[in-house]
Amino acid sequence: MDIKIVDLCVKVKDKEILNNFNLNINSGEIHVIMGPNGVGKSTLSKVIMGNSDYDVVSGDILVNGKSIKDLDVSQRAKLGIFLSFQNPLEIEGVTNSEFLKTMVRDVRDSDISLYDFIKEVNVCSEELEFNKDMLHRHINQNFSGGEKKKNEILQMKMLRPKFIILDELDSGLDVDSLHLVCSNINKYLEDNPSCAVLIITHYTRLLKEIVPDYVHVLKDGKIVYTGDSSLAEKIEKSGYKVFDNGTSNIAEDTVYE
Amino acid sequence: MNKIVVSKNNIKEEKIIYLDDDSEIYYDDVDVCLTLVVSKPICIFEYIRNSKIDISYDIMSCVTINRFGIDSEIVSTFNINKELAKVKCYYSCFNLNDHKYVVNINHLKEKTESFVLSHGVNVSDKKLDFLINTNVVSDSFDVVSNQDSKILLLKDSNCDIKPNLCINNDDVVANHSAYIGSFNKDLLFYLMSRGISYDDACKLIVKSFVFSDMDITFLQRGLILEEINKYWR
Ligand SMILES: Nc1ncnc2c1ncn2[C@@H]1O[C@H](COP(=O)(O)OP(=O)(O)OP(=O)(O)O)[C@@H](O)[C@H]1O
Ligand SMILES: [Mg+2]
Repeated sequence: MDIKIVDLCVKVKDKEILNNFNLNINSGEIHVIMGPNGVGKSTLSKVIMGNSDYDVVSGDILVNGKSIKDLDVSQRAKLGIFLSFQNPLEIEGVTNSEFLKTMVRDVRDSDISLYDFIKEVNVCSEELEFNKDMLHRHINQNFSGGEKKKNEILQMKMLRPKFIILDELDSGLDVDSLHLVCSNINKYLEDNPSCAVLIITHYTRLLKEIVPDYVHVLKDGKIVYTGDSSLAEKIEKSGYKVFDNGTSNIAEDTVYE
Repeated sequence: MNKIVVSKNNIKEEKIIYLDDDSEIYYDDVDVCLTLVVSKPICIFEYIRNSKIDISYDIMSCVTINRFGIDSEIVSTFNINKELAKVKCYYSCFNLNDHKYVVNINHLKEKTESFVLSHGVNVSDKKLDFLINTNVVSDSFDVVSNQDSKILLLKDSNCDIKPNLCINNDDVVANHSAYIGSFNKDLLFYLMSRGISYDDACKLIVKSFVFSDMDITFLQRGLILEEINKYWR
């Protein structure tokens, strides 16, 4: 899937968050967005997914050349966009397995037999070392932080998306779980080489597992700098101060040692 | 499991019922006033349809009541009558006409506990009111009393939740929360981001709202699901 974000301006409650934001993600590419807290990374992910709390003042989001502006959230998901939430929600009274069954039925537009569904969920859960008891528990209720993130990726595997957005996947996952979850994602990308990925993170440890093609820095509502995966390490060392006055400060010697 | 059916042609003479086993009580199209006495730890499932009922519970043990109502007017009183006795009451309902749901929770002894959760789905533009009254008498020390009330509006309507706490003892933990509103937008966004259609997402939210933390059997759940399925295919 090719994603093209053009001159996107986004407001929430009259506060401007994204301002002429541009980004192209071609099929098969892995992009990373980094940036200080509150700069609008999660906002971007929710706007791509179609959250109506955010006002798209101008600009457009094109998927394979076609605007998705008029599609609602579930239509975008059906198109193949998947967002792994920074903070997955808890829903009591509904089991995880019913949730998974409903999404698979709605997205694949056909009733999957219970047998096939169970078989598929079991395989996906095992690959994630996700305890099967969790399937019968209420959605994310009393799940640990890491279990919630694993549950997001379980949903991803069942939905088979074409564009994956991972919003701080690494928060909540311990070293071993992060490795396991990332190898699941890498395996998925191997099997689906045209799938595009947008990773939002603050740390390089995720990028050692899923190696990106491009790393972007988001500040003041737009991308102010783009580099390769080495940029993430420089940010981890020197912080975001070097991007304070536009990009002019990022002389090779300040960031690059 | 006891099964008691209270229907028009089946209204018992005795208006006091002693329950010492897990029980299912069905109220169907009746107007009754009953007293139920509970002296053993049990779990009760109440299914109340198109009825007007006034039930009083004498509670001398630990009891969990899972109560589901369809378009009914209910007054229910819990007299917690013995030290260390506890009541948990989960109530969900579908409402179509003007109705009140009144709960009186009377902590008459020390070290007693109550948890009363009331979730109403207001299907029509009629008025659903919750009045939840907690009353702790002056010599009831060490009491815990919590109430949580929510009304989910499917149409514009003017519903009301009135929590009243009348606490006459200092050594009491009492909490209440109340919410009236439409579907939670964040939940809708989460569910729809998985490709779940708006209607299916609403249905899941209604299920979540109605079942919440109820501890019921598969068959009892099925009965409630039948009702949910009437509104969402
Ligand atoms: N629904 C909302 N209502 C009001 N303000 C919002 C809303 N959503 C986001 N914001 C504000 O928009 C800004 C961007 O928030 P966002 O969550 O996108 O930041 P972020 O870059 O993801 O930060 P972090 O790294 O901490 O996750 C913040 O100032 C936030 O408070
Ligand atoms: Mg964020």
